[in-house]
Amino acid sequence: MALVDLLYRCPRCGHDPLPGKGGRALCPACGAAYSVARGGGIRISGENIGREKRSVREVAGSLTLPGQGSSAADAPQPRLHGTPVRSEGSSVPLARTPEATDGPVGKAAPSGGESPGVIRETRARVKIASRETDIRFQGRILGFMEVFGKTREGRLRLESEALVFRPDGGSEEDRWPLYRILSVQASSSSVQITTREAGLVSIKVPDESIHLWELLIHRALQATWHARGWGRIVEFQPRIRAE
Amino acid sequence: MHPLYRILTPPSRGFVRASARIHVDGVDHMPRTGGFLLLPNHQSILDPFLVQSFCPRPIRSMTKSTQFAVPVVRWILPRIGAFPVRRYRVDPQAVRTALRFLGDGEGVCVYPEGERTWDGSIQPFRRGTLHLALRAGVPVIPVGLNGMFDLWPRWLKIPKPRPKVTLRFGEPLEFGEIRDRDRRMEMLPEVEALLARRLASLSGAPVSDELKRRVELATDNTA
Repeated sequence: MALVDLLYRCPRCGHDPLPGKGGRALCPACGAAYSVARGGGIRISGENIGREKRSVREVAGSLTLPGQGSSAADAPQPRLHGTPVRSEGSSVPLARTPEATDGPVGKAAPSGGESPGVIRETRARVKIASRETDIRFQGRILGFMEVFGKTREGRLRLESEALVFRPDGGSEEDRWPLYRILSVQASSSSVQITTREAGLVSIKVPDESIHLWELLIHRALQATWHARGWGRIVEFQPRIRAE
Repeated sequence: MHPLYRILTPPSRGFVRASARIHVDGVDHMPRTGGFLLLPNHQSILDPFLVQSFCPRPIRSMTKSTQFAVPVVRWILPRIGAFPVRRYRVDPQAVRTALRFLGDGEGVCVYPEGERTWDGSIQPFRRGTLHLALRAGVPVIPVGLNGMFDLWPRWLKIPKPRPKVTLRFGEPLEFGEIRDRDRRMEMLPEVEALLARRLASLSGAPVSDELKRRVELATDNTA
């Protein structure tokens, strides 16, 4: 994890992704440098910016998700909406308003070319819980834990209607329709979703911010639930619940 | 409690003291006997070390089940008071275990936000934890943590050197033992608002926008 897991794009100009390492990040577009300040907060510096310290909440709060436009009014404004967002060198169109339709569920042959509703795509490591086991102590059950199967590497694609994982060299892709997702939670450096068909799925995105992916999945789910008239989601774990 | 808990508490306290300048407040609010429920805000991966080391009585901590994945850790965790909760689904066994410990007169610690904060603010609380607080019939003690986010936010690989950290035990809240689920459901917004206000005041941490919205809604409905 690093500062760029929190600041998944430049808070000043919206450049995406914001490159960085450890507690530092530097925007190649506007030249803003971000670092973790001593005693808490984030220090922002750069030419024509000066040097200032802001609270983490303030800086993170100024971020908008890709597809919502850039975040700072007083900075150079790249028009992100409706243009391709770079993701690992590949161009992926931004989100459109999701339409809720009952797409295919589970395994499917890989789609040729990009689906029109693709929100974002990246490399991913995915593992699926195969069973649960009990945890006992002093002869009594304390609780249960999940046991995961083998980790697979491939590409993860968030579409307006589904989350799709295509394993490297695999012929079948896993497709989890958003309306079939039961819960979403960040767990350290992974995001976990529970689906009706596959159960618990743990996802790591080594090249991108896990926080960004969690928020993107949240937003896509909100849109799906809204489109289906299921209300506004107020809780994503332990199960999705709407007002 | 297992002897390993007592063995590991002093070095754990030393480790926390070496990592930050600790100030502990409100230990006199802790009940001397009987079960109690601690509800701290969650800022850092080191929070359990801090709370467990400086709580005057031993506590059991509800811990995400993924922590039990490594065999050595799975052996250690129950011996230092941890029990698992599956966060990806409603987990009645975790509630049963918590109620069993509370019924045995032990202390149980649950982080009501369910996960560490990304930006230092207090997140909305999990309904299951609020149900537990209303169901348990034991004193509920809000615990405010401040500075742990500066020590080690979840998005940094290594902690920062020795910030000031405050651990503040609040006055106990008494809800009684409410067995009727509908009654608990009615009380949830009010209890969430009360806990949010207490945690914000004890920790000095800001409240997230979503939690603020819920608190305002609950306050409007009460008025």
